[in-house]
Amino acid sequence: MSVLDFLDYQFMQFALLAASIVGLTAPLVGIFLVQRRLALLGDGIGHIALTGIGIAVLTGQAPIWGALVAALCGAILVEYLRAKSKIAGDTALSIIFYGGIAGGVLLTSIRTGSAGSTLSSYLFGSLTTVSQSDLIAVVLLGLGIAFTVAMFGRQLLAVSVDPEHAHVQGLRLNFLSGLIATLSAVTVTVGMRAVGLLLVSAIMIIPVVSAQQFAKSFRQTAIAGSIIGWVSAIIGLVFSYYIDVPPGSSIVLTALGIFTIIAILVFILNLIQRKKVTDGFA
Amino acid sequence: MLHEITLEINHGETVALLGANGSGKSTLLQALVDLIPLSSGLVKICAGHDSQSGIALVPQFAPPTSLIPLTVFELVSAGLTNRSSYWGASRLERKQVFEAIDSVGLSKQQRYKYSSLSGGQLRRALIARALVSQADLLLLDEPLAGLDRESVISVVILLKELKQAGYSMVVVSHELSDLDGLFTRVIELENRKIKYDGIPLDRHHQHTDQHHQHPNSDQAGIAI
Repeated sequence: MSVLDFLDYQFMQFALLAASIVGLTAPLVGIFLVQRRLALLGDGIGHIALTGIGIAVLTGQAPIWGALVAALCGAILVEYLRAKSKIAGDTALSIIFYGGIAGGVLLTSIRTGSAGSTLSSYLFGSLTTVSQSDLIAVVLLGLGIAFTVAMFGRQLLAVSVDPEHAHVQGLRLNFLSGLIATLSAVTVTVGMRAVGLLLVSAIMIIPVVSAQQFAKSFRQTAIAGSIIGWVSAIIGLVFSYYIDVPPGSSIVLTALGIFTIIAILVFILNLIQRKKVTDGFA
Repeated sequence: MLHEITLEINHGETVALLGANGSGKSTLLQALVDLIPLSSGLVKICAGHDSQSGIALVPQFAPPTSLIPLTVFELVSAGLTNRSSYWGASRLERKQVFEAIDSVGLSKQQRYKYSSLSGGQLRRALIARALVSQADLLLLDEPLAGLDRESVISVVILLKELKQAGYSMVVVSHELSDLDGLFTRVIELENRKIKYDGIPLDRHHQHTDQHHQHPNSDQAGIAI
């Protein structure tokens, strides 16, 4: 018996692959959300994806596609409300938040009588529910995210850092803002099975703010964030197998643990550096 | 709101746009680059260059401190985005970014976070970003505002080098003394109208009403 026994189970292989993809890609999208001060966007979109799951459960469709369609609609709606209406960004998000979760609970309850058990695996992730067709969807959507970020990365960075300059450069701000929202929606759907809709936003944001503490450039933050996201997903998933908890909770707590360790290390390194400087003056 | 402003800026001209606070000079600059919609009228940017816009704005203020660390190189690279290329910068484009950073004297700082630059260095980095966009007309909004003496000198030297290199410029400024010898033309706004348009005079602030006709060059840069 070895500690790697879990690799023998197909459901764990599927779960590890799904978690790896979300761990690697989510921070690549999250970095633009952090830069644009939209860290909660993924959370809002996750809530509206619940309504999509409700509709899918009610109509007997695959939940992942229901979630994707609802998430995309929610993302576009939030961007539209932010850009066109007088509603502030956080207010627009909260409308989506509440409407999404209420819709999800209502629709799932109509079908199953009780929403709790059905929704719980979508809210916090589940090891055993990643089916082969889910996995194919996750791989395709993950590749789509990586492809889009690689292709539009420079434009997305320009619009996130200095929208006014981006406009003068002739970039289409509405299109690029919409693209960031769309990428967030796809990421939420990719992370739905392994991390869960309530927690997937954390894996977009926490690895980025961890990397930001020591990285020296945007590029380094993106690469380091992606690696931290992947490591958190793998370690968290294995923990979830051994201590039998929903993987979303252990993945997010692992990411938070890594964030804390990096924060302490950076703090200590800064202290040492400052001491060196003051010793140099002495 | 600007009223009845008609002006044509020709290729190779270096123009000072003067005026008191509220005279409309920054509004005019922003209208030129479509940051403020025109209620009526027309901005026409004539061809004669390769880039899409041919016109680049050097704002008075840098973007607010980036939450994610952003290097000088990455900030200047944003100037590449007016070209319809994707997949990050090509080797040639990276070389252009490096050359622009070098030409403004920041090659040592290219890997620094831009938030760590001094005011003068930051102004020069923003000029490098405009150069990377391959514009031939640079619009500079108060390029010397808030700088210490040393930085003022370094930015003025850079602007004179750019003039030598053949760039056209419109520089919004409060006063001309530091920029002596840079301009071929001065436009003064008052109450959102053109009050003076002509060659720089020694004592421009004598408020002469004399109006100098400009010889039209065959290659127009911009017309409003």
